[in-house]
Amino acid sequence: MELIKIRDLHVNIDNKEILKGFDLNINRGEVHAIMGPNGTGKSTLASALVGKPDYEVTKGEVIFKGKDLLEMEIEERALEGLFLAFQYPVEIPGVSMINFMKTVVDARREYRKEEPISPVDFLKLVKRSSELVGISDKMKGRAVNEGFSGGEKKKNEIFQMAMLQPDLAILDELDSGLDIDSLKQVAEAINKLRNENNAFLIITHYQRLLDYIVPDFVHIMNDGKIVKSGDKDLAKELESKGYDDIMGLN
Amino acid sequence: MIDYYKELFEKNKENLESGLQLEQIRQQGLKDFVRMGFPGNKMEKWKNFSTKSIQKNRYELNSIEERTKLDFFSKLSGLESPNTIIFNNGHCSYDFQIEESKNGVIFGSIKAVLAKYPEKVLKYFNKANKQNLNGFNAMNSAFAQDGFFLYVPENIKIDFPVLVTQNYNIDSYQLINNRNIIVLEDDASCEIVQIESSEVGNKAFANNITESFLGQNAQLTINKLQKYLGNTIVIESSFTKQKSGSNYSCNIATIGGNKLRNDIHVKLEGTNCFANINGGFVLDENNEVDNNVYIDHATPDCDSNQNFKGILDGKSKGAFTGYVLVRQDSQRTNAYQSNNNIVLSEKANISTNPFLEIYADDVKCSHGASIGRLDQNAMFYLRARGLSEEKSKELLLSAFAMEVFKDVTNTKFKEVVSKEIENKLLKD
Ligand SMILES: Nc1ncnc2c1ncn2[C@@H]1O[C@H](COP(=O)(O)OP(=O)(O)OP(=O)(O)O)[C@@H](O)[C@H]1O
Ligand SMILES: [Mg+2]
Repeated sequence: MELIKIRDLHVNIDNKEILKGFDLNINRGEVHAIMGPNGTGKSTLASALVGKPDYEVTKGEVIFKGKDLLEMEIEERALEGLFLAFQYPVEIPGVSMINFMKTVVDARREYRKEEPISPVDFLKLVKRSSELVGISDKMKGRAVNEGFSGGEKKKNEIFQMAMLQPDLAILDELDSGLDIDSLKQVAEAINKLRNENNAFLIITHYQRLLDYIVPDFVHIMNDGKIVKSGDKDLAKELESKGYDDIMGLN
Repeated sequence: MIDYYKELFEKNKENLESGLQLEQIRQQGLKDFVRMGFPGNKMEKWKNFSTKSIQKNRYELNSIEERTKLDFFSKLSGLESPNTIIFNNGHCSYDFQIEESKNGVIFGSIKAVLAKYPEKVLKYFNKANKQNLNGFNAMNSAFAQDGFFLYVPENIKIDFPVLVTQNYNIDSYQLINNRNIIVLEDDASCEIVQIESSEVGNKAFANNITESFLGQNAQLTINKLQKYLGNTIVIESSFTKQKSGSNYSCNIATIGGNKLRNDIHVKLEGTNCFANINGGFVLDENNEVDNNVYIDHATPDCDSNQNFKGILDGKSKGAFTGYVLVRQDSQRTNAYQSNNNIVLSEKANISTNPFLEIYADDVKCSHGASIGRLDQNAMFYLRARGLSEEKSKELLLSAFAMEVFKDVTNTKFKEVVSKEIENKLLKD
């Protein structure tokens, strides 16, 4: 079943066109990987989908769960089930992780016209999610991302994802900053969260992550659009041959 | 206008006196008030606080005493204390006047304590505020009616925070002059929670003074919530003297206020003292709040810290002025000062002024100030998790303001403050 349909998406930042006609369909139950050289617009795609201000969509459409995504406010997109694990998570001094999560979980429940979560259920959910991802109690008590190491910030993104169980999760360079063991643990967490109802869009530069989370499709992006698509073997081919060869530039 | 207050004094002389033995102090107060008059905007220390609206009214002396208002208690959610004193319009509720415990603690209405133990009060009255520093201080000396008095003997630690509430709600121009005195003998310690409020229709003007005396190694914490609605005008001056090894922590949360001035004077008179003065203020509409902190490092080896944060919306006006005086012999002084603000509207205005006067050479002083806007990256991050723009804003602003209370150990107080800040922010 189709989860998201991106058609001919053009996005400008500061009047400069970064996405130049991006197309992609993702069905529930699928894992897609996007690879591509630095500066080709991978993060721009992720930011534009979640609605970052100043990202001007000049053309194209995005249908998410049958609704026009681009018409929605930032928070509406999230409440509908879109989640971005940021490449660079933001530090929020003074807002405790736990308080933040409680507020976010309740905001979702309110959106679905459900009662606020009970303290017991909330703590269970926190326990399950943090064990899955491997974050310590200490981190949960601290302010959101404040003073977290690079790897801790990444784990914290996946912890939030585990808490919120989105329909579509976009993971932007999750592997940067994570050590080998953490990468493995986080990947296993994602595999456990994977099911026939949700989908993942993984942005990465390396095959390593895709060894753990095996994608159904791999897309190569260059200069604001997808230039080649294939299955998991495309990523392996890329690793051995490099972009120029794969994209047929040699 | 000054003549009016001379008349007011004569008219109420009997009434004010009533055997309180303050005659000399009152006469001196009136004399100083007549001499100094109302401070004007041209004076450096008053440039952020216009006294015009005070000068134009003929305030009467308020003498209506009231019983405890129980509905007021319901707002305190968890701050209730066995040591509570309640003031309505400056008068101690006549349900409770004075309490003496076996260990020598005296707590009560200053009027009641003065009647019973005049020498105990007179020993301290105007001893921290020696010179009737300005016209308003002198006015208080002349007209002081009631207030609270707390005496904690040597080595005594009061376990529960003492609760002092004050609510103003008079629909005519009335003058309220409370005088509070806090005495902590050597090694004594206590925490006072002050909840100050006013109702929308209030027209009373409150001009209060608190004098605090900290003995050696004494520890005083004042956690204060100010929430003034309507046209309430308030000037709160405090004078604190610290002996060696003492620790004074003063945390003030200000939620709005039509016209409010906080003057906090601390004199560090013994070595190894610490004064920690923190304030968070949230203003909107026509709110006007002027915070002034004066710290006098009169001896070596003392530390002081000032941390104020403001959030300003609407047409509000805020000011923070931090004075630090390090006298010549006050070596090894550490004095820190910081004032950070978030301004949410074009029409709101904040003035921040550090004044460092340093005569010693071995001193660590720092001051920092900033005026900023909401962090847009943080806003995006919160909204991308599903929080509304309004809720995200409230979370970030509340966290910003609450940072100044990070050292406050009274979690109930922090909860109440945090809730008040949230309500104020969500109202906008
Ligand atoms: N705020 C901005 N203002 C101007 N240009 C920007 C802005 N953000 C991104 N760009 C530009 O858009 C282009 C695409 O950037 P983007 O971050 O999407 O690349 P990427 O594919 O994610 O790269 P990387 O692999 O290095 O993460 C780059 O040329 C970048 O400089
Ligand atoms: Mg990127």
